[in-house]
Amino acid sequence: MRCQRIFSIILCGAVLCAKAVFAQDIRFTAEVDQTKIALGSSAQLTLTVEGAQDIQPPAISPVDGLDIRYLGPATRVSIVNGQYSTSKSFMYSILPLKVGRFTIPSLTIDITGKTYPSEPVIIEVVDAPGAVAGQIPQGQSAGEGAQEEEATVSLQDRVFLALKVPKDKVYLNEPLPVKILLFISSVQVADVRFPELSQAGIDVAKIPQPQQYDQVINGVRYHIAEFDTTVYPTRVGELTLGPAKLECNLVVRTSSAPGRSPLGGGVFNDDFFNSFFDRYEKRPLTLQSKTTTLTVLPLPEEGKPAGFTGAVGQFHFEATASPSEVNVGDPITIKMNLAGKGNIKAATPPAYIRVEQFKVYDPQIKEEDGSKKLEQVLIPESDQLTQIPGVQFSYFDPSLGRYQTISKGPFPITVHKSPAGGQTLKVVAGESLPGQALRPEVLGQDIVFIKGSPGDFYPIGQRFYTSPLFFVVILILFGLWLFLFVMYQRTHKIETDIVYARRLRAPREARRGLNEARHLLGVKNTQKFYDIVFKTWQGYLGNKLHLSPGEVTRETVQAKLAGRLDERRLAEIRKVFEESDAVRYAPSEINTEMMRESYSRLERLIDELERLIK
Amino acid sequence: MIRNASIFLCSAAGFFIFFFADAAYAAGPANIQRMTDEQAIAGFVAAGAAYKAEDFASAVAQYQSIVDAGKESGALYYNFGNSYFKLGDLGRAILNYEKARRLIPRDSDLNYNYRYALAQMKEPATPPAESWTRRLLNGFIQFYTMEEMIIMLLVLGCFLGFLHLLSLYLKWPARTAGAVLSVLAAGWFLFFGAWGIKWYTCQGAAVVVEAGEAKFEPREDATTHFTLAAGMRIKLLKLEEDWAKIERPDGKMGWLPVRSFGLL
Repeated sequence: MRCQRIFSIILCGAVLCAKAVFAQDIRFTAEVDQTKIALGSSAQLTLTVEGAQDIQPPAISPVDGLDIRYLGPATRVSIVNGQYSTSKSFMYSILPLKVGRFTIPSLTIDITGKTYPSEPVIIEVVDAPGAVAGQIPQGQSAGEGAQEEEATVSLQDRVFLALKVPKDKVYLNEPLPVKILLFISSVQVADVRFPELSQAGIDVAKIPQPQQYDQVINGVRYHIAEFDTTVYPTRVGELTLGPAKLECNLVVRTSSAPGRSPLGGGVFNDDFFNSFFDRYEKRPLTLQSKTTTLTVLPLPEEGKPAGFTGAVGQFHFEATASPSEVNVGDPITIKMNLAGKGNIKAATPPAYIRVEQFKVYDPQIKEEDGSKKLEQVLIPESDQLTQIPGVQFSYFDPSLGRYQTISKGPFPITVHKSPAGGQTLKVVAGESLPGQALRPEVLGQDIVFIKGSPGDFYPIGQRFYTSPLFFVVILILFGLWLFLFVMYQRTHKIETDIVYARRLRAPREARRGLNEARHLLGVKNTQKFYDIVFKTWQGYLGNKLHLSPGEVTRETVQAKLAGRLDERRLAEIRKVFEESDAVRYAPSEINTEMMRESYSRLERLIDELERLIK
Repeated sequence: MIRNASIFLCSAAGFFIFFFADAAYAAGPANIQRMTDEQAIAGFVAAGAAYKAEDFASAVAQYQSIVDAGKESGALYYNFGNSYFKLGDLGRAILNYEKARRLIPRDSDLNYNYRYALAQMKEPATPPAESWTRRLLNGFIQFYTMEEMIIMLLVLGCFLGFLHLLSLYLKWPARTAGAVLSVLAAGWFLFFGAWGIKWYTCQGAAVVVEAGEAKFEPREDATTHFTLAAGMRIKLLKLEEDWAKIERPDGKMGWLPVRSFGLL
């Protein structure tokens, strides 16, 4: 009943609401929170549909000079004096990209087959934040076109990226310093990432941290972030460098807090209160520079040295050999260092490949801190050698426009005969740089010398664990453990199993009672004898069959033992109980022979029950 | 109950280990003239002096006399192997190094010489790539001698039994007792398994002392099946008069004259 009542109330409410909805007029309006905004600030456009709920956000065609982004919906439901009304609003953020007057044209929305138009919205974008003074009423100059012609200052003039190259003609692999400049003026930019400059046919060096400084250009002060890098053209011909791309966030001021009148004026509409109530948002911005065309010239064939490997730039080359005095078979380490301005990746120090009467190992080359280091091991195989041949490094100097060659060596050495020895093993250390790691170690190898002490002698095939004594010790230990374990199990069972414990106690206590009865039989104390006999019998059966003293009656015992004992024994058990009654009611008829018989019967029965009832 | 049963099984297993160990190792060489430790030391020193004098043949003879008299030690086999190595008998050198490794497996000199001798083999053994777990297990097995493993089994077994009884009589919480006993039992089984593997791998193991050919049949004129390099470890499968059926590490089986190998 209660559920039915609740359901009826909900149903009535829903019907009334639906009725109210359908009864409400549908209106579609467009409004901005401020019609005059400064470049670098943002405004909020709200499209409101009253009287309808299930609708999608209307599409807004792009407006040149404005960046409009959808923020999300908001729903409002109100009941005032029983009047139900609903509205749904769609919020958009408007970021002006340049100065001027812009009109967001009339928007339309279709609801249940009917089209509802909104009024156009005009926004004036001024150059500086201080220029925001008056406001333009909404709906004015609707037919004036998308924008006015006098828009001259744009957001692109306030934050932009530039790519600067010193020259447009370069040689193949020539290092070309490039600057990527980020200009910022009168806007706030945050989360600036490193620029990207990738182009097929051009290698770009790692871009380091930028230098930052301010500069006034054409009367405008710019904050500049300068990223310096170097590019290396790797293909001959016309190559396009750029555009450089940089991602950052533009920090824009959004609409202010309540109290700020859209009509302007008032004590709270000055800069102090505006800045107090304003809030800021970050809008992602991707900046692109212009491209630059490079003409990449091939390296001249004229005068190209034989050992030229493609190094272009200005280089310094050093080479040393140490030690200079060695024995035959000892290693000599050649160290070369190549540094300078140029594509160090493409430059290779001139390693030895084959040298007469030298064993030449593969070089170890490592690039670090803009230089290349080479270490190579040469082992003289003759004591007649006096020098290691020199090495030459050639490169093309683009500033001079010709090839340069740096020669080092020959390196004088003194080689002695190797001292007499057997087989040698040459071990070259794996770690090469830095330090002495490449120094090879030349070792003789043989077996280690004999031992001076024999250690403990054992009889062959006999060990301590083969001795019978050891075997006996193991058995004793095992037996001890087994004994203690069984003891524990028994004790534990007695403690926890009362039936088992009573059954275990039954013969012991019965034996005690029988001893006492035998004594009383000797002194012919009939009354006491039968007291003890029946007490023993009752105690024994109680323990054996887990019965309380009151439960030990002829009927109970018969019932418990029926089927477990034969008829003869059951008759004897009955006899014991009958004797009990006889002694109680006719004690004068008891004589010594009967007492002896009673004792024997009891002893026999207990003995048999012990054997038969487990 | 399960815990009690496992303890019982552990103990029973220990019992049988020693029984089998006894059966396996009690049988030593028969009919040998035993020498005292002092005599063995004197022979050892004399052999060392011969070695230092580079009379390696004499050193070999001295060491052999000690072994023939029924005495052995890790250092003895090590020096014996060195002497054979100096004589160029790589197979017997490796055989003696293998014997020494049974007694002093952690000796760095021995392991170095052993590896060096193996590297000198004409056909070095190229064991198949092993997983890290296998290498770890092999390292563990090689680290201990059989005697040390048995002592560890005994000590752990006693400790296990003692703690088991203690946990029962002192009524330890079942979880505590279970955790402690499980750890000990795991250690015990680890040593037991390692001991079993070691015992099994030593059974019928031999080292080829003379490079030779394994035949398809136990006859000199039979077809050669494969060759064996001196120093290669093999497994004996069956003995038949002067021939033995052997298995090479790569699983190939053939017949080899008994004079060509030495038992570990």
